Amino acid sequence: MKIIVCVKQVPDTADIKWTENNTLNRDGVESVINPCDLFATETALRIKDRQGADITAISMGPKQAESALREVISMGVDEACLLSDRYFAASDTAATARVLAKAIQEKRSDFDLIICGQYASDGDTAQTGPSLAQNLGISLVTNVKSIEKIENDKIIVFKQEEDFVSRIEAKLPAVICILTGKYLVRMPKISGRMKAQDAKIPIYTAEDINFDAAYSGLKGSPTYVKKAFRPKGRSDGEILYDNSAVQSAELLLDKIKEFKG
Amino acid sequence: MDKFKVTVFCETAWDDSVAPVSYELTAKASDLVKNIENSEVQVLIVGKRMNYDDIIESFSNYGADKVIIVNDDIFENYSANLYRKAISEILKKEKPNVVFFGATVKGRELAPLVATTLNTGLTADCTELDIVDGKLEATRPTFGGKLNATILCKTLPQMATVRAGVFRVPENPVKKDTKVNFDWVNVHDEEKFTKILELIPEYADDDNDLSKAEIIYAGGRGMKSKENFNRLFELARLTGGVVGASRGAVDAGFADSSIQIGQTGKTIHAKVYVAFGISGLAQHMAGINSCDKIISVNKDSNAPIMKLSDIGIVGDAEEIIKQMVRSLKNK
Repeated sequence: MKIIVCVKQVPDTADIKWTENNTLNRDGVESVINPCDLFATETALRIKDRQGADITAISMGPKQAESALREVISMGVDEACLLSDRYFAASDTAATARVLAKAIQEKRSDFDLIICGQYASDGDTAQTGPSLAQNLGISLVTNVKSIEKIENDKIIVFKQEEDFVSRIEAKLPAVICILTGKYLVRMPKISGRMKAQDAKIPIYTAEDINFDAAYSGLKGSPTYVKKAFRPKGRSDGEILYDNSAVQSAELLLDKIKEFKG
Repeated sequence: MDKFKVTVFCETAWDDSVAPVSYELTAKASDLVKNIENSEVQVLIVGKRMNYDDIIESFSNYGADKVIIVNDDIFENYSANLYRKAISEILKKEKPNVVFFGATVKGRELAPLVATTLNTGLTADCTELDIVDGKLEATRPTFGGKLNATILCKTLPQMATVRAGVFRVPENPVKKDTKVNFDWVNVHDEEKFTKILELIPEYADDDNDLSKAEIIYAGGRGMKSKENFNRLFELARLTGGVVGASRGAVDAGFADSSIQIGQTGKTIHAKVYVAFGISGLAQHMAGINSCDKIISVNKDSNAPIMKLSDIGIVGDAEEIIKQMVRSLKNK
């Protein structure tokens, strides 16, 4: 069983603050592993615990994303590689999925299963996983809560639908996109940390994976950002300070009554 | 001149009912093209049913010029790759300028598959849409909701997904004379990569239905504990409201994800929305913007939600909730 886990390093969005000049201040913002991807990693590790598996983590990003890959190796992932090239920078989801697909075809084409996080906490598009599946022309199940079992050439998963859960069988190879869950993601052991420290993480450029860089980056992406702006608020709102809890409670109850009409 | 076409994917639920977001998007599409000469709003339905009359009637009411139906036994049960192929084949033939999907579980799965098949771009979870000189301008919150971005697409069709409830259907829609076109797509059983084995109903709390509630009390990470959070249910019971949660509260384990409000959760339209200990990132605001009145309680007067509310109260959410419950019980 060969599993690929896709991992994205994201800024800790809680750390990002607005400056007085209406720009985003990213100074001192820490980079973390996208939360859904930690669950994707945990899911892969549980398959490995249960039936054995070789797990490769793959990430696309700047050189510093290597630290995210070392972290998942410390959790128990076997190998990792980083796709990093200035021609990849500013790729949208479609371009990112093309790069990932090409890298997987060139370097790990013997995989059985690809596990992605359902969405990334920074962009929150939930598009890269599905687009990767389509680039590879294989099965896709999104919104996956958990895996029931893997046997021969198929996987059975539980998928969160709008108001219920469905049990879905997918042909392997497949891409599954995992939601965050209530279960715990394992902490690295000391032995894992040591292994991660020594691990060799190859960095692949567009050339290394025979990728035509014209199809990635800002130029190669079908979408682009025309403008970015601060979300606007309600114009005539008021902010009330210095009330006691009792006063605030009464005010709230009055206003709720008034607004409800 | 070629027709300017906007195609809306019609999503049907497991009971064969049409997802309201499909009507919302049809009405929105119809509004977007109203000043474009020689335009057409198309609705694409893929499925298997005996009778489409009622659906066609509804889409006519919301401004569809044409309904395209791909009806086949093979589409009776949803399978992503089969639906992807059917939708992509029709779009290749129709060559629309713009395509909309609801940002539902199914829409978020299908839209990127279709966009990749057609080698075009897709913007997820838009909160505003506009068409300027034939270009779709799709605006969405990004960066943990701290920023709104307006995104354009260089290729055709220009695709976007939109959450349910972001746009509302008009109260007095103008009925159109809708053409109906039955079409056919060549798909095979071997292309069925996935199949549904079983549907498992979840416990649904009918007394806490966020979509129909008039008053909603929601708690965030600032509620500090599950115990504090649970007091919201008492407050809701005493005032006839229901309870929601921010992603922060869900991630912290105070509340179940089934009551999550925001971009990655439910979109609501309450008369009064009261937010306790919620900072108000745009991802959250995207889910509550269509509420009539927003009241927020936060100990931090600089929390983004304070400026985005009709009334912002600076104070301790825990204490204020306790006092509200006490006051209501004494009355």
